[in-house]
Amino acid sequence: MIGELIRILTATLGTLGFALVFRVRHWHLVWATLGGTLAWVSDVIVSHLGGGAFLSSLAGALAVCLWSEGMARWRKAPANVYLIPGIVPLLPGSALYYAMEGAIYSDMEVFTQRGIDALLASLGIAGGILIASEIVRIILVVQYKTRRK
Amino acid sequence: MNKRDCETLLEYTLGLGRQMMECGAEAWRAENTMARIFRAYGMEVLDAHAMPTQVAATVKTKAGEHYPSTCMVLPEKTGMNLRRLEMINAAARQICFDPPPVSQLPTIKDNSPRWAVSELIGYILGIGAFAVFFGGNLLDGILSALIGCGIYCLDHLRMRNLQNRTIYIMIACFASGLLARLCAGIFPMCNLDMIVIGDIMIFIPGLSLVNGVRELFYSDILTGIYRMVEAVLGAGAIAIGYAVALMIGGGL
Repeated sequence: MIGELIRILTATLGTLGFALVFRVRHWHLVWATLGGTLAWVSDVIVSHLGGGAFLSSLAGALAVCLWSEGMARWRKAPANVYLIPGIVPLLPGSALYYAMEGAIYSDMEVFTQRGIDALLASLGIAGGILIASEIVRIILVVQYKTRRK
Repeated sequence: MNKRDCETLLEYTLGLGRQMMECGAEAWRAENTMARIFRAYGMEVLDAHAMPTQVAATVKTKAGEHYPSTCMVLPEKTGMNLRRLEMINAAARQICFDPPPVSQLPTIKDNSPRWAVSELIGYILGIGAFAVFFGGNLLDGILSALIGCGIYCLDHLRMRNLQNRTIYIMIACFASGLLARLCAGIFPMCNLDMIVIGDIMIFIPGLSLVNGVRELFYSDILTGIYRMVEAVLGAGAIAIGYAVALMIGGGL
């Protein structure tokens, strides 16, 4: 439990750091950082419910993408301001490193396993972004049609 | 609007599109922004196209005159600057809401200093926190963050010299890998893998992945493929850079 809390805290701090690196303006910092926290919490919840690397990354990306689109409309800023820092905790840095280590050691089992983990996490992120983008697109189309009536 | 005004507006709008692409915007957003500005001035937009290396537009005035033009986007100048992206977005909104005379179109200036303390803090915080996030101890976080200061300097040198991004990632990963190996030699209680993982996070091409996926599935296939290839090249450069450094350092 404490381990999970530390990970949530470091994910939040890390997202804040990346938001500063990407030069997010200070009045968006809190919301961009919360996006990262939300992404990681969603990832952890799905992971605890038995979801693998793909499903948990998908849930995290879906949550942060919907959050970003909502924030973008509320705060009148591009969705990328919230999305790009928020997605960072989901990036498979660890899997990429261990896959590389496996390749150098010629340990094909580690290389394959970690490489697949990195690939699944990336595909999950991609899937989450796509689903969220499609949901937002449908909402916008419905809104547009309702206004025209 | 006379010919000179039309050409000025075209040049200005293409400049905005170019800057958006350089700051990390999706191609469809740059295209949409350009088209909206032209329409705000009563022009018919025959084409507004953006991709990571070029923006192009062709507009038709009410008098039936066509104005085509293109503008090059330098991949070396492309980086993530969400502050500038937001400023451009806000200026474009304002122009569309209340179009000023062409001679009074606003100049978008990002006055933030080249060497910003907040950005350095971001490198320290981001890299240090993720070293702990992936299972490292506090010392791993601190050492990783210190190497992050070096990466910050290298990143600024790249932007100043407009160096190729893939080559830069390889060199930066190599240098930070050697530093991580050195830290592991000096402090035996630290974990080399956690220090490296913290540093890797700053190089992972998250923007290319996120934008690439969205563009690929929004029928912007060429731009999407460009971004995905960029992401794969970035991941390869990270692996090569660290692998060589750690092999030379004898860490693996």
